[in-house]
Amino acid sequence: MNHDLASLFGIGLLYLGLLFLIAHFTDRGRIPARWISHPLTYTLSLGVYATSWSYYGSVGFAHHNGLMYLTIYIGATLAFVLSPLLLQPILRLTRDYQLTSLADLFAFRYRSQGAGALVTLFMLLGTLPYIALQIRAVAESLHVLTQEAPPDIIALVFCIGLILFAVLFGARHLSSREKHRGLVAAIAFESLIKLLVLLAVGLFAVFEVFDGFGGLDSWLQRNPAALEALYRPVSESPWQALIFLSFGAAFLLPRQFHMLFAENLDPKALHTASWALPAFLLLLNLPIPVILWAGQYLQLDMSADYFVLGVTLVHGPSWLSVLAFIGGLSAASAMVIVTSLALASMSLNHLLLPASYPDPEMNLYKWILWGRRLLIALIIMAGYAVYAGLQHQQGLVQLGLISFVAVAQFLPGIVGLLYWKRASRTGFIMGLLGGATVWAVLLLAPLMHSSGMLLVEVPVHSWVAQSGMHKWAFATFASLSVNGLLFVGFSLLSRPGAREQQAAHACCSDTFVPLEGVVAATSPQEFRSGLAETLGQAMAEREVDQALRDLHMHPQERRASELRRLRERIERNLSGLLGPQLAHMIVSRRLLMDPQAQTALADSLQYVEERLEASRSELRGLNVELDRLRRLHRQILQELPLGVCALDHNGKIVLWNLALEVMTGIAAREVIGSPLHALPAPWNGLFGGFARAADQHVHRMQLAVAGRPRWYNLHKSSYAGPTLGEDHTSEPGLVMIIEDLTDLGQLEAELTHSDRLASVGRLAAGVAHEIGNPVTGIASLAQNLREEDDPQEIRRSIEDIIAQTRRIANILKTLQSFSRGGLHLAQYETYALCEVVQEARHLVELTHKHRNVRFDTECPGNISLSGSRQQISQVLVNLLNNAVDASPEGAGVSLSAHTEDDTVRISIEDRGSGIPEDMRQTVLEPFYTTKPTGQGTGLGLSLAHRIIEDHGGRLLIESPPQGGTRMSIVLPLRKP
Amino acid sequence: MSTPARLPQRDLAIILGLLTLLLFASPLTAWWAGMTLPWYTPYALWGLLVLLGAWVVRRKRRDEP
Repeated sequence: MNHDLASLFGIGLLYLGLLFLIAHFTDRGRIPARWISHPLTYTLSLGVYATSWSYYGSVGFAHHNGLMYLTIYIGATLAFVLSPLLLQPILRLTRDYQLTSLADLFAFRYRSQGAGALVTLFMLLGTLPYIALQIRAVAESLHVLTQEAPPDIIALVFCIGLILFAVLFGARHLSSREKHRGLVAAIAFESLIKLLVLLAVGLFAVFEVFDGFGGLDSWLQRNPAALEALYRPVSESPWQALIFLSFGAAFLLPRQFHMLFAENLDPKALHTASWALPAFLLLLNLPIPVILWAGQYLQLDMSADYFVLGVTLVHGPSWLSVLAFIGGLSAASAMVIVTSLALASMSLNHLLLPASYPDPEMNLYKWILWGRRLLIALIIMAGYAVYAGLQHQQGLVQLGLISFVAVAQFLPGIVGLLYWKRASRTGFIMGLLGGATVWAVLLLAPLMHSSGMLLVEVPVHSWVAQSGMHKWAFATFASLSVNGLLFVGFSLLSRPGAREQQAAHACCSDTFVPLEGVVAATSPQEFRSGLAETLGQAMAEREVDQALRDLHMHPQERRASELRRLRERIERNLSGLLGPQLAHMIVSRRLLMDPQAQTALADSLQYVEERLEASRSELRGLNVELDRLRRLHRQILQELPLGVCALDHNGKIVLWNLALEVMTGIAAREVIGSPLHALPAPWNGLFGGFARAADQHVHRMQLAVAGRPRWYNLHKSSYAGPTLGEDHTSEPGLVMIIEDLTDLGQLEAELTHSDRLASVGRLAAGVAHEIGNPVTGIASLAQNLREEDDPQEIRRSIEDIIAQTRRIANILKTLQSFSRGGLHLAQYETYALCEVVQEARHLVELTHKHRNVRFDTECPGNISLSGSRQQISQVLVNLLNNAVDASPEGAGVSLSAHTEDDTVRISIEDRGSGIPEDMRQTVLEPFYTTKPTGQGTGLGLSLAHRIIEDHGGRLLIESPPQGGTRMSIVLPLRKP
Repeated sequence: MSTPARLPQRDLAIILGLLTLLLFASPLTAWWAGMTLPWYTPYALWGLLVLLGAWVVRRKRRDEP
């Protein structure tokens, strides 16, 4: 059963049209973004690894070399298994530095435009046969299906269709920052199609050709040679070599590098791909032996490379063979599209732009866009030319493996890039030149000779025979040995420059150097002017604005540390546009560094913090513990309930903690790297003044913040700590601590107010109680009087009423004295203390004559006091009365007075039970008394306390352990 | 007895890589290929590696905050 060429051609065009629609709808947002950014979509897009070689050629490979075809996918599995060591570090580099291709990566690491150009040229040379392979697979599949010699014009139309697709959906955006979601969706769709179709053909082979798995097993038992032929080549020599080659190809082939790193939407998707892509490849390869045996069972008269089509042609419905053709078309077109995009980007950045940089007056963006489109067309057409020029004697796999050995030459460079800081530009270039030469002699020259492009025949066969190795193992071993030896040898002999060393540090994930130097330009506007000389005004403005947006930076930013970051960001963004080396050259020339200025510690600190945060997962061993310690210390400083501001030796702020952010309302990111005078008022004055002041501590400093007064304690100390990077200064920095007392003061005032209200409440309750009792008594007596006729009883009641009213009057009088005590101080007089003491003693002795209390007084005659003699006398009477009341009958009460410096201490001691410590403050409150009702108002001690305080003195209450109470009045000798 | 520390993802990747080499690029490869095993044996071994890889990734996701 054959198909019509024209209808297959039309179906092929329709399929390409479907790809256009998918890409178009994705770019327009018609397909949900979460589908496109899903890790499985990313994984399917990486399925571009499986080309028509896998789709058609694997069966042919299995036919000739048994399970050897699996090596091409086992190697890829190994590369993805080792993703944390290999792919993730590369992904980090490509994202951080906007590197879009392998040439970008090498040019960045080895700081050489020559290295980038060499990688690009070698990649072009090594990949063109692979593109030719795809074109040939499509053309030959058409031949198998139609049995018509496919005219070259069909291959040409296929190429033009691919050019259109690649230009429209793969070269829409200029920078690597913007991803081609439409392209990713279309490539993922193509991978899905080729997988489903191949599985469908496999199932068809099992159930239609062999009548199920039982039939397949029976056939295998009848034909043990088939299984034996499958397993036998496993122990042959190219097995390990092919695993090694496919290990490198899995991420170094231009299409793989492009989809893995340049079109990666989410770094976490790579984690999923590390197992999902091997699973995809496993499923893709599962039908291969079955299809091979089905072809052998059907005794197909065609190359085993096309058994996928042949099985469906002989034994299946026509739609299945058309589907099988579509699957092959998918595999081929995806490879050509992505490879051409990747090679175009490399050629533009490393060949075209360095060779003919356009006039800055031109629109550089348009120039780059059209340059890239032109290069895509040229690369696909070059692939077509190779297809047309080659004699098609080799199997599909042979052409693919030539490319695999070519890209394997980048493996030494990649290992050096990621893990060997000593690797040098000279070593890399010499190694690559050596390996490429061996590759060209051993693999490219025989291919060209067999196609008639090279007249001289290289005796590769005899060399291979002498080595005793298989052709592919020999080519791999020889080229990589020469490459590796030259790479290591020249790296050890040459000394990398400062820029190369810096790039080496950036590439090796476990070390890094902080940003150093200060940009000469002092504002983003000066950046624009500087860059305009090379990029043109419009592009310079756009790039500076983009970098400002990326960093969320203010357009008027002037801090040296921030401008240094801006410069680095611009270089990274330009790298995505022009390649790393050209971007570095432009930025180095147009945004000069100030050779005199020193890198501030603030800049280094911020950079170190950012890098550590970004690379936490990469830290190992002691570094993890050190990082934990760093985070703990930083957290302690950040969470400290005191504001902390630290300055480096240049007076730039290096630390501004959370409490200080809250206190000042200024975010740390706004002030880190700034001098103190750049802070907004009033903080610039507060911190600036305190930093200059000689005092290490300032207490209760008042500051008007937002029109309201606030109080602060300030402390400072200088520090000298370890330095970062090239900062070897020994000058100390300064750390300042600020404590906000305003809230504490307010709390104290509120507590005092509450206490005062409570005192008023207790006073009111006391007054009510003390006056209430006699009033109740008067009311009762008055009620009795109404009905009393006995004159004597009436008289006694009246006497009682008068006594009660006198008691009320006394209470009120004492209250008046209590409330107006301070007023009497207006009448000062000087008096002899002893006279007052004797008067008070006499008065108390008269009052307590019946209690036989002994008074023992000791008062020097020369003590004179200033104040209200009458009030001090009242105090002494009150205290002596209390002492007598507290003492048992016949006990002694002592009063002594003596001077201490500028004060006089009068102590009254009784022999009572004492006052517990927790009661000593309460006894001073009004109306507190331990005496029976009617015997004390509870105002005496309170009044005495008040009078003493009015005289500038203190009343001390002590109860020695042996019993009794000592009341001490301490009064100043001078006028208060 | 203290609980042994969980291996970081890098270490697990290295172990898995070595297992891949052991199964498919060592004398063990020739040994299993020389036995009369069903045709799908290499796929079963490959599938085992895929499952282990998926487990390593799932474990990393669980450990991440």
